[in-house]
Amino acid sequence: MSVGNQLSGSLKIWNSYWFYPAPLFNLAICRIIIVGFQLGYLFWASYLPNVLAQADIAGLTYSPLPIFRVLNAPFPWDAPPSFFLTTIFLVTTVSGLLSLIGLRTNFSLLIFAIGNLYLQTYLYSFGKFHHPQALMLISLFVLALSPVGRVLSIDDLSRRLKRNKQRRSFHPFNILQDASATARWPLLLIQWLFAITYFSAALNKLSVDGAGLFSAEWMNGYTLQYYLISDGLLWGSDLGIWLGHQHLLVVVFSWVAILFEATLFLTLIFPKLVWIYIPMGAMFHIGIYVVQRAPFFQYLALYAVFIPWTAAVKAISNRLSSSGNRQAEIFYDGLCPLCIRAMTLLCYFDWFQRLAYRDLEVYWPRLSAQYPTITLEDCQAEMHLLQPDGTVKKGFFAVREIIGYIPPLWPLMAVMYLPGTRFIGPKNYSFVASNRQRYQRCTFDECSVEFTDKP
Amino acid sequence: MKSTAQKTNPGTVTRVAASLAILSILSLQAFTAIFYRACSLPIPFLCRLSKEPDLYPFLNYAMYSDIHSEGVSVNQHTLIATFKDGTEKQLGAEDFALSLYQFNTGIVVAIQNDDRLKVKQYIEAYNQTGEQPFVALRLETHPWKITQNGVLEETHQIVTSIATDPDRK
Repeated sequence: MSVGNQLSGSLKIWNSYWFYPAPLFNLAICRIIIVGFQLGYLFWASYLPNVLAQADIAGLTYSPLPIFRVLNAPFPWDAPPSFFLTTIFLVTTVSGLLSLIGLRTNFSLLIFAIGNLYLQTYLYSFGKFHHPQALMLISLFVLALSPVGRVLSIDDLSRRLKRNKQRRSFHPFNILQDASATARWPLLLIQWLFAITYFSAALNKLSVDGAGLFSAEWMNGYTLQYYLISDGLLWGSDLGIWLGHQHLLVVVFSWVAILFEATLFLTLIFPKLVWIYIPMGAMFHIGIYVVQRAPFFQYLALYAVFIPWTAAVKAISNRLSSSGNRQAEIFYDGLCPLCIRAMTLLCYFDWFQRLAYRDLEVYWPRLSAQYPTITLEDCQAEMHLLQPDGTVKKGFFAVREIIGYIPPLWPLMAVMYLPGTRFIGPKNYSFVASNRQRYQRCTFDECSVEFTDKP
Repeated sequence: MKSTAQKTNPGTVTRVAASLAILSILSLQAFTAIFYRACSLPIPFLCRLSKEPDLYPFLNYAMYSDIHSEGVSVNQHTLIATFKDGTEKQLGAEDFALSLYQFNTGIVVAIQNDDRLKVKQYIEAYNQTGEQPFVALRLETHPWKITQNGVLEETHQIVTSIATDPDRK
């Protein structure tokens, strides 16, 4: 085989491994979880006060990390002043919020990643550094370089709304079906980083100078007892000190920890193992926080990259439909721009396919045959929801019921069921409905239309 | 035809760029993760390249990797202040406006290492809290010995005493 053929074969394997089309939904869910976590970390971990106080802590000497020197190079100061650190923090949090909701997603996420790196490396420019943030920072950059806002973002929703407005019609869609050849590599890369990270931790524990290549000495129990008691005293953890006294239990935990760290890479070969390793990893990190105060919570958020979100949501949808849960049907006015927008919005969050969208222009004959008491004028005046049990809800009450079918919109239920909404809601709905625009039905004289076979 | 080419090219460029990102990030992570093991092996040139955390956020994960055997002791430290009237008080992190971690890894380590400059900074931080000034500091260690028969508390020892009052120097 020639070198050219070998190279071509390797490229094919490389491409099919990293660039096999994957659902964009997975990437978007990871963006929301990871960015959401990091924003929470910035807000609730007294992050800004810690950053600002760093220079004033007695006994610490400012010695910037190389990466911080690079990030700080465009600015005229060696050590950034407080006002600048505060500005960076504000810009970082605003860009984080934008990337969370998916507005100019890639750009805002890149700014968020740079801001986080700047602040974190500043914090570590005083002689001490810790591990928990490192993988999170790399992951933010990886996500920023990927099509992370192609679904589940304001960017995408605006695109769809604009497109439907232009074509004056709504066609049901399922964002879980949207796939891209560049949606797989970012998540796979973060999984690899996890595998290397844990393997590094195991390798460091198993390699002992002068004891051959590997040694089981670390699992003697005394080692972990030492760390448990040391950290227990250092951080004030009574549980850690207590556990440090339980030799046999600690020997078992030592072996479990090493097995977990050394073999996590198996999830990359056998993806179904994530259902064992990820809960185990979550317990591992929660455990070490409780007993040793080692805060690796970032890892819990980053574990999102291992979860096949699209497959999980589809499995739930299939289970719901196979267990006899029929879809509720929304009858909407297909010639109303507001209704087209509303249907686009509902469909965007209807991940479990709980609703069927029926354009009155097409489905009126069937509905009128099934419910002779309902008039076309009523249907055009307000949205009708036909529920699986045969009951019909209209207008505001239909909207309220619809939200119940769409789990991502459940937070809105709190507003929809506020006291008084039974009276105010229908009035508001009627006001909006009576003032909405309506397209004219096309005729051969007015506009040209593309004929399609409708069911 | 032209429009098809425009659609295909960005895909190729994107794949090449993504491949470069994948290779760079994986190489850096693998290098730092294994690099520090290399330092204990006879590969000195790798060790001279950089010292941790020069490549942050790419790190070696050697936390908690040192091995300890039976009989190892964990030292609990206490810091005792002596006041002018001869009374004593155990000082904690809150007396220096520090976290417990900053206290244990800051002033305690500074006293152990006899780092007078740092100790002076901590004393100044203490004086700013408005608490009664002390004239001497004494660091004691309370060892916990980990044995096959359990964890045994041993008798405490004085690590060091520092006079802070100029009159007593």
